[in-house]
Amino acid sequence: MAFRLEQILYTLGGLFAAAAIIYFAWEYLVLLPRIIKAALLVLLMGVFFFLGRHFQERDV
Amino acid sequence: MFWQPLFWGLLIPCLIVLGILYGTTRKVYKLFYVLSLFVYVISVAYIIDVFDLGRNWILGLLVFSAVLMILIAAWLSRKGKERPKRKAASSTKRHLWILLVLLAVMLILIVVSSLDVGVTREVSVVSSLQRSSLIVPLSNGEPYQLSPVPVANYSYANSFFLPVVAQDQYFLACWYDTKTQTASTEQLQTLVNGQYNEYRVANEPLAEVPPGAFLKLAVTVTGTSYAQPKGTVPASAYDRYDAIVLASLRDRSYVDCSNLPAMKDDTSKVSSYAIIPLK
Repeated sequence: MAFRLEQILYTLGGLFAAAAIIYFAWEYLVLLPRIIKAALLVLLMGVFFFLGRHFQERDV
Repeated sequence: MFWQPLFWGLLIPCLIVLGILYGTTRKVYKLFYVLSLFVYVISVAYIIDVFDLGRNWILGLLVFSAVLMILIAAWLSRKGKERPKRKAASSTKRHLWILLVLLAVMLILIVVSSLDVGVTREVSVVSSLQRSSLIVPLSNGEPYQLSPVPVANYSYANSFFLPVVAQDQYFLACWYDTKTQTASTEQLQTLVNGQYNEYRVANEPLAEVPPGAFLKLAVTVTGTSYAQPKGTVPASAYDRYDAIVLASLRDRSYVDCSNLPAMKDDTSKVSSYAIIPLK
């Protein structure tokens, strides 16, 4: 039971984080210059990649 | 603008792949690798699309992407074989540092480009307009043709080292009754630098001022006409309006004309607001 509650909370946390990112992008990032948006996308790719590396090292 | 359909078209398969991957392997790190690839594809599409790259640049970017993917794959497979277990802790620490640096750079970029430093903005709006230039009675059978009337100029000078997005992105002009302080539901047609406002706004990029450059947005409006004697819109429909209201909005969100007076003080949405009397 505790395991399931944990999963639900993780999922909810992920959904709220995704909603926050989408809202932030929609309201604020859309008004930034194109070059900054392109740079942010490339950096975001790096963030996801190194998060993947980090979790891989921890075998998560 | 093909990057937006591509984004939504790839997002659904990406979410399905993420679900299947997590369901079968229960490994979070694989999800982040897939997300990283997804963001890379979108980045390439975005760069090609919004910067309107020529064919040599597009080809170069595609070849670069191919080489990059192959090199990373080769590096990952070599690292996987060579990595001794005892070094995992220091490697994790290094990855966390790289993550922090990337996030810090993202934050700095957002903050620096959000500062309205080095930008001079000047707005000049006409003091009044001739009523006859906006509301024109036509005799029966006369072709519907009205000339755009200049109403405002918005100019930007950028002395910053980064491009700056103009505050005034979307222009809205409505008939206005100064006695009741209400605006019509009907909108006047607005042109920005000779382009339809809706056309310009629907097609990114937003109005940007490159470093060291000057941008001028000349706004014109086109009024209305009514046919006589069998007009669909009676002339009296416009009698109560003694002005037009011209607003520039910060983003592309649609605002109804009749809501405009109520939101004129909301500077997060309305960047300029002017009432121009009709004579």
